[in-house]
Amino acid sequence: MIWRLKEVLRTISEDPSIEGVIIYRVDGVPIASNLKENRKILEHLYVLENQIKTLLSYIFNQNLDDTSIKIKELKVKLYPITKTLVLVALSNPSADFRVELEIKRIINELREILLNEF
Amino acid sequence: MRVKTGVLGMDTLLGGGFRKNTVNVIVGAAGTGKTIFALQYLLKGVENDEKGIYISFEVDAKSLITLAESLGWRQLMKAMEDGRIVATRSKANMIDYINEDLLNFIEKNAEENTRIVIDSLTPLIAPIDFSQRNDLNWFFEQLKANGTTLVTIEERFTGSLSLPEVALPVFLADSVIYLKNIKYGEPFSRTIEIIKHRASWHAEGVYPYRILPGLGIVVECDIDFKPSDKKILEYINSLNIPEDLKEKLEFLAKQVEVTEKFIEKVVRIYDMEAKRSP
Repeated sequence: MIWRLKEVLRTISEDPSIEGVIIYRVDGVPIASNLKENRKILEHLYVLENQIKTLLSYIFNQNLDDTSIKIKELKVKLYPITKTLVLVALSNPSADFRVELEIKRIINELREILLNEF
Repeated sequence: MRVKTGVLGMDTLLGGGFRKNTVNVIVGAAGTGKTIFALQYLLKGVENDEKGIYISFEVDAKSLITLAESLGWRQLMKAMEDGRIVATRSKANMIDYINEDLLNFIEKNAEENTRIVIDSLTPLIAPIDFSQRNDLNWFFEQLKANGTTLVTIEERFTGSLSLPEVALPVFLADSVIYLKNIKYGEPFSRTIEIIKHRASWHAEGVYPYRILPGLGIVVECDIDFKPSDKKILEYINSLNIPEDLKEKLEFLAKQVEVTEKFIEKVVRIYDMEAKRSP
């Protein structure tokens, strides 16, 4: 299942405006990821890991469709996939609406993989 | 030679299984499947004609047989009945007493290739503090001398792995496997993670698992653990690099799959450092 999730993540992470995509579990554990080789992302990931549990519980408790934060010049958008899994997309300012649509498309694909293979 | 865990999918994540004569810790909260893991380990031993020793401080042999029956493991039940697996409920309740009855029991029953299970070690070491590290280390060394051991450790409901009764066995063990269940019944609610595996490659990240009648724990390990292609070895051999570096890269390529790009990166870093050295 993980390699199938990674394949789906790879399709979105190939976009030049996307720095990386990660699927997190509700307790903050990363399940699958596809990150570009950019050392600067690392320091943002450290910040994200400290914040992720709070953000996830906010999304699930408030029943939000998505939410976003900014870490320096990086935009971090969180999209719930299931009750316990969320897709986090790290994008730079050049990301446009098409990337957002593409992310919403792959959320459906991820849901199908997770629910059918389980 | 590796000792197979008996858990489907686990040996792939461990690079073949446990190393012989090691102490391997399974950490997890209540209900994550630690005892089932331990029984699968013993069942594999029965299939390989290896002796098994099961030690608990809370559960007796009768309860074990009931659990084995619920999972459909008749072979395990039979092995417990005919002595190929010896089970005991020990009364030792402080780590100071372990060098008496407990170790005598193990030494008396161990043979070559014995599989030892202590399920769980927590009641014995619950009052431990970090100053007793040497005592626990000594105990682990005695276990290694008698066979390949699986020790289960209970994770407190607080989820803290930093308490001495969890942290000490984790520091001292040869491998540590962490079972987690966030109890939502969704994919990835149950995950397994290898925190450490001394002197061996192991998979990184978390992997989902399920507990199924008949099969027990099944880990979804969709990784293909294999050494590098022969072409990579030929490529390394063709490089104009010092012999000691060549030897190390060949050893690496025979253990895990690496690409030419990765080899180039390593050689570049090596050259950069060699230029900087006086």
